[in-house]
Amino acid sequence: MSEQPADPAPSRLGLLALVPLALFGLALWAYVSGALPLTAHVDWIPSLGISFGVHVDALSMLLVLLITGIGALVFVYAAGYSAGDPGRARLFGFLFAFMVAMLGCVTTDDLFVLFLFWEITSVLSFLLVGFKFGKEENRQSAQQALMITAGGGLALLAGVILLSRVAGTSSIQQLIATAPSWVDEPEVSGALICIFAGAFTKSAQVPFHFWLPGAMAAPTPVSTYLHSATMVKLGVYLLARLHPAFGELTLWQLTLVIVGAASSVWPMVLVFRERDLKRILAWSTVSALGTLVLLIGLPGPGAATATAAFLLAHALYKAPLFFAVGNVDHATGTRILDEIGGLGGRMRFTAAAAWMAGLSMAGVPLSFGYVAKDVIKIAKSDTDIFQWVTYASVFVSAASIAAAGVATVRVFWRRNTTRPAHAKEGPPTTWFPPLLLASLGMALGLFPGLVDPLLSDAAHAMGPAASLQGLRSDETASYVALGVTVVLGVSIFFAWDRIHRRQVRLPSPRALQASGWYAGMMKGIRRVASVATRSLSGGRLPVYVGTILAFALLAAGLLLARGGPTSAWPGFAFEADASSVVAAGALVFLVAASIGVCVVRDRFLMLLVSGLVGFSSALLFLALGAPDVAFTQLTVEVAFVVVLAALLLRVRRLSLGEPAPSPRGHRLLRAALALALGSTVAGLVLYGSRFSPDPALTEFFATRSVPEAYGRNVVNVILVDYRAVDTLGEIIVVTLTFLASLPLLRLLRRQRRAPRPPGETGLSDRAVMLDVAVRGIYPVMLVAAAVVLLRGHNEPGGGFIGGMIAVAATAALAVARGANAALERMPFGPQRLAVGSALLSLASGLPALFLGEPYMTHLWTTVPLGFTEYKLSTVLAFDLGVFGAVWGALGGLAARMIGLDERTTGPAATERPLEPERAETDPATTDTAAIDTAAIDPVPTTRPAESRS
Amino acid sequence: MSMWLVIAPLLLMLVSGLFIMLVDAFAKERAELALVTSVAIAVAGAISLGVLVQGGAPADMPEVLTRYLASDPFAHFFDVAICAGASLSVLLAGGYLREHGLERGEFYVLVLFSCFGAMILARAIDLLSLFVGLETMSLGVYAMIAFRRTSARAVEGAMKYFLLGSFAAAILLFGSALLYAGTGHTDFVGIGEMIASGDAENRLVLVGMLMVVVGLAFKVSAVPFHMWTPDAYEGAVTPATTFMSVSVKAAAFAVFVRVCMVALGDESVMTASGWPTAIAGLAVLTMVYGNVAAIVQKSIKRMLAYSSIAHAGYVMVGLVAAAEIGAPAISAVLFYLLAYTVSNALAFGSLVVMGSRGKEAVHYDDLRGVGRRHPMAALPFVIGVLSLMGFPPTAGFFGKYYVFNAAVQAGDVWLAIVGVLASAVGAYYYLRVIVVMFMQEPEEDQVLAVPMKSGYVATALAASGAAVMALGMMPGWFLDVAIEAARQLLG
Repeated sequence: MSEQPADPAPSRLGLLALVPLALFGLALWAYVSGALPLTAHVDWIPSLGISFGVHVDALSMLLVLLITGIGALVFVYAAGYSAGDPGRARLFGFLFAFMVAMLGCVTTDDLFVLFLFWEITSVLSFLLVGFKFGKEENRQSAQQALMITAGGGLALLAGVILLSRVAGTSSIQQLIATAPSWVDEPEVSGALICIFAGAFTKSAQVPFHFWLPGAMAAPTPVSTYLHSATMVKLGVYLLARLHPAFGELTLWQLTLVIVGAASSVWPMVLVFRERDLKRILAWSTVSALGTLVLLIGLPGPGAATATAAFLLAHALYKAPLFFAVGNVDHATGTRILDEIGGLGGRMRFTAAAAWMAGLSMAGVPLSFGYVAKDVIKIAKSDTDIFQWVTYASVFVSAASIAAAGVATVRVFWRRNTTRPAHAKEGPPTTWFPPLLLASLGMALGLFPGLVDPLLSDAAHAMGPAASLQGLRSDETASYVALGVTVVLGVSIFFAWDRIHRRQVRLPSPRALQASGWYAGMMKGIRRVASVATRSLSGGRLPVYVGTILAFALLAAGLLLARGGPTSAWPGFAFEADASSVVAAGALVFLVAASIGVCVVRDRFLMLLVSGLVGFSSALLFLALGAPDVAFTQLTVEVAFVVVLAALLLRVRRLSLGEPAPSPRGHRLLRAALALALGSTVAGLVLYGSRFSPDPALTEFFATRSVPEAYGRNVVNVILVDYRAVDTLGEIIVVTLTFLASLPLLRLLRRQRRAPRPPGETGLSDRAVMLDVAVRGIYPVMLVAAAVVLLRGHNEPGGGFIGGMIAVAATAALAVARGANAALERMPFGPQRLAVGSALLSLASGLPALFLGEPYMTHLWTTVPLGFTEYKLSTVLAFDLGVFGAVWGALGGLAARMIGLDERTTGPAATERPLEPERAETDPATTDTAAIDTAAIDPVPTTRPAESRS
Repeated sequence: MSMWLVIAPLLLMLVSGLFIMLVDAFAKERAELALVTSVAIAVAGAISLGVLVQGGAPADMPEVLTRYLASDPFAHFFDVAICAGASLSVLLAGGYLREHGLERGEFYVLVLFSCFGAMILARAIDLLSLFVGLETMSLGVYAMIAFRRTSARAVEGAMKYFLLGSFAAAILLFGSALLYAGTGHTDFVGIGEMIASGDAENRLVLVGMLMVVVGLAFKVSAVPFHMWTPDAYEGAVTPATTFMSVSVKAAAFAVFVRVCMVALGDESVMTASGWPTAIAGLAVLTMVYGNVAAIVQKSIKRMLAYSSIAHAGYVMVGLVAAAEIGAPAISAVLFYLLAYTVSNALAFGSLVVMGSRGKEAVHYDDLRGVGRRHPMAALPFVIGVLSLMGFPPTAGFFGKYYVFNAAVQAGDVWLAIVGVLASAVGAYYYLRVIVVMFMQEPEEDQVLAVPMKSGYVATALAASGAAVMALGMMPGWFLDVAIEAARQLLG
């Protein structure tokens, strides 16, 4: 908290004060010359009906004068206060921006624009509170202040939206003008509650009052400007602004009076807890704000005038007091009441300012504070309903007197000592502003007529109001009441320390400050957050998958249940012929394999069994009369098993260890989920199979594929004829992928530097039987592939499937005899085979061009073979190209991938961990690893810690 | 309007993708790939913006294009958002990858192709082009996450996203098949017409719709389909995270809106399936969970991941409102996504700029006191989080305002209230960034984060910062464009 002066020369940024000063002069001139109300209108977002409407009446003008006037003095003060502070440019920048936002707030006629500026002031307040930091506590209070005000801001926005929807406009003046026609709508109550929330949070009313003392961590210019003179008055301003529209509502009056009264009394109870001068002033500010809110809520013509008067009076006495405390802090390095005293002799100007301001705060006659309190008293006694308010206000006034005494008498005037001894007055920039303000407060107390027109005009903007002078009470009764209050106040002043000691001893201070609900709420949210995060985003993939599937299933179930039962299920007709027996057998196999996958624990075995699932479904397709689909399924399944097996062989050598067995409950849950999901999908497919929405395509191929393309295998006809260009594209992609992966595979192989035991080839030492078997099977498979290729156009088969069979043959050979052996057996070598075949396919479509047909129109000719004839076609060339490209590319890829694995045989490979597998050719990655370890703290790989708090 | 102008953005993505691939393979010196890529994407976005502004009659397109891809203002609007996000991500990558020694050309190729997929997705008016676009976009992203190959986290994030993404794609595909089985159409308009005419098989349509929605909800990371998000966002290099969080999300939402409003926009489906209610439920879960979970994060990247989840929730609020009031709510969604794109890019860019070689800023603690040491580097972060928080006068505020306003207009006041409360919770963790930067000092033995100096990153920050402020100060123009796009979408 120490704020020692480092460099006595005031900052030149203080010259910024000229801007608000000029604005102040301008505003004053505008007021005096009778230009009010000033109005202007600029369209902003026409589609939303939002415009930059400006409406400056006396109420706005009062605020404008406060903002610019005190603003100018704050800039002057800050120039001396922050001299030598390296961050002072930021302080001035934020303060200036704040001033602009405040001016925007009080001059706009559009509620929406008002809200915008309102929120900007909240953020700037946050940034300014955080300007001086140190303790965790300060940070928290800065954040707390913003959370409260920003939350209130959101409520305000909601209120503005609701209100403008009900009223059909967001212009405040139109709102007031049209209020009688809609003010009784039920939505208005909701809107008002939202607006209350916004205003009460901003003006630190109970139960949001605790953020204001917390914000006292801010530097003095900020506290003076934001948290006493201007920003906290925004809530009051908004309520005063809207008063003409809602003033007659019971909800409005009751809420304002109750909250205002509570907020004016309660802080004066809490204030005794404090020993920090600034916080004492903060609590009294909360109390003053409460009084203002209370006054707005009170009926009667005096209330409005009292509000305006007290608004001004409070700014005139509280700002100098804050300045003075800042000076004391600067001079002594402390604000703790017990450590300072008797500074009056050392700091004459500051003391003088504080004395005058203190008198005004205490409401002593001849000060403007007295005038304001006097009017307040009348306003309160005007009303019959809220009599009790009067009694409460006696206590508040008395406590104010005591607090004023603490801030002045105890600090500047004490009999014996000057504590601490080294204190001395700061530069003139620090004592001139408070002195000027406090003197002004006294001057206006002597001549209240000077501001009477302005105040009563401002009050008129809030509703029917009387003039200041006309309200002044008869002197005797007033003096009696004053006497009572002063006596009470003085006794509280003398008992201050005793009350403090007693109050501190009371239990549960949190609850007493009412910030308990805020702290509790924050704690609760954090707890919920960490539980929720851990359970739902714990990092385990099975949980993720399970959750997604479970939700999808749940939703599907709900939807289906909405639809009610259906009788539209397809019937089952079972005829026991040969194919249905095969189908039944395939089904049994399928189910058994599916169960097997769930039971088996070894990964490799699991893969094989899951392959069986695919094979048995291929069998099923075959039995049900879809041999082309069956073939495709079969080949895809082969590719799947081969690729995964090659991968698993590698993973096995990483010795990752067995996965931890999951608890029985989890397994059951998963089984239930899988079962439910499987049966739902099965049911849907079954149900959906009833509908064949668009038979056009099927019919098209069924009727046209033989006469037009001379082929009975529809799948093949589509591939090589109707969609030949697509197929061409695909095999080119396959070939290019293969070519592109070659450098990658070469790179990977170079990394495996483990010495290969001489004479070992692949798995041969363990797989003699396999070797022998494959030697025999390989030629057979190739012949089969060729047959499938040649007859493919009419019977099940074709280039793609033939190619896949050849790939399987090559892969088998690679597993049994090593990759090189397999690669050598491929005609022309895999690269040339793949590229050449793709080119062949490409070329097969060209002849048609010479005959004036589109590219890829296939030509047919019949070759007589004596006993029969064979239809020869460019289709064959095309299909041959597909065959070769698939074989060359995928076979080459499979063999090389399997070949990669060979090299890792041996003890060295098992020690190779997963992580530092790095390409030497890429020096960059070395640094990456270093960054990773620096930036990311060590957590288990499979489970990034979600919350480490 | 020329057809070529309309499809130029798509072609530009493809051609420049191939071009970068070639340059990367043959260039001996390190070429300024980031510059070329970002300019290409920005030009694509600019062309779309031009088409959008110019308006006028739709171009005469060959049937093969119009059957699968739309070229309406809606698509062009999303082009702008997607390209803005991608271009900014590439600029960030230009600084980031070099700074951290990861400069490899394939990153830019991946972004270009993935961006192409995203633009296809935003144009998709058929289940087939939807799927192709979705997968084209996603494959690039999977690879991008694993870009830092040696990092276990990156690989893990990519793997999780890939596996879950495949699941989601399978669900989506199954749903598409059911929709086709139920209506006999794969194009959105056809599906919608069949449903409206009452000839569709409703049970299949409903379940199919549900599965499509689940697949899309996964892509936009709506709770409870969000789990991959934090892991993937954290593991990926930050520019890739940026791309995922803005462009990918925008494209996914584009098709989400199209599916809901065009294919399932019929009154009878809405009441029968209750998809607005279902999405409202998702939105509430997403907003609440995203915001609450973000609070406990220590890593800013993870925090931003949860924040992006929460933002998906706000967008869905707009979608729910669109079911009731149509165009105004859709335009709110459009505006929101644009605002979110630039704000999030700004936040991630600020995180990028905070790190330099050997010390990447990841956790809150890494940022301690940065604001006091390097105020100019911290300023973009402040604007970014304020916009994400929804503070005026930034883009984020108007985004939230429009969306919640639309919800209120649609009568979903409770949804707006939940949204407002959730974003109030959100303020807590966004503010923490500012608190840490400006109000905390680094620990004694802490390695200080030194902001990187990179023209690329500075440009990205300046551009996104300017966009955030422009959208916040002059939202009217963009909103008008969005309203027009929304109107034409509904026909």
